Amino acid sequence: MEQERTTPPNNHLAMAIISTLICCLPAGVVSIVYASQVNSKFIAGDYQGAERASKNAKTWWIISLAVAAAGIIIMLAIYGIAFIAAIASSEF
Amino acid sequence: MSKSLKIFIYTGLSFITIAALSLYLNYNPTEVSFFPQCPFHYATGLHCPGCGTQRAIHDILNGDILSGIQHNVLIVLAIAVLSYNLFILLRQHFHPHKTKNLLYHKATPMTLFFIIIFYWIGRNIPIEPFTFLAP
Repeated sequence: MEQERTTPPNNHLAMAIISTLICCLPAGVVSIVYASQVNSKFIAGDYQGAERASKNAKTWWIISLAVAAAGIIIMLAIYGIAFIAAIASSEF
Repeated sequence: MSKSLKIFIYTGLSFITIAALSLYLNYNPTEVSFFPQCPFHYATGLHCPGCGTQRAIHDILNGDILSGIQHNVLIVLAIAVLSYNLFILLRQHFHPHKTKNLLYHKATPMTLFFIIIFYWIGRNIPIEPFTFLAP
């Protein structure tokens, strides 16, 4: 049997909020829902469920932030190429 | 995860964060076009809870906190949660048994969830008291 635990698994709530508010994807909201499950399952004594919810919460905020970061990088790459092309075509 | 890999990842992430922040410090998202537009706003024309954050970050980093908050009120919540979490992490390090983390309270995630959902709805209502919420 699993013994009583005192510390809940990381619920990733802070990063869930951050990723919801700085990127604009519903993925952050999903992460908040899983964060809520971490707390409620841990209080109910379902430690494995809480661990699973913790992993899901982590996955979803990483997805949310990664999509935002990818967006910035892609936009920078497109504008970088366009900028270099503009310089190259204007000087010669 | 091994300890050196962890240090490597955290160092890398801090550099990326600093690079991103300096990008937002020096370029205004309303003037230059290389910042990505919100895909939700692009697809539906509605505002999501994250819309306005890029402008808000730019304004706040440049010291114009009030107009930054007007672009996205919940950036206050994001900053508050982030600093609270850092404070709790520090406190847990020094007083591991005395520290209670509010973020682990049963009701906290759902409260924040509903705040964000109502904010999402509220900022799309084009009537006077709600227009303050729109970016």
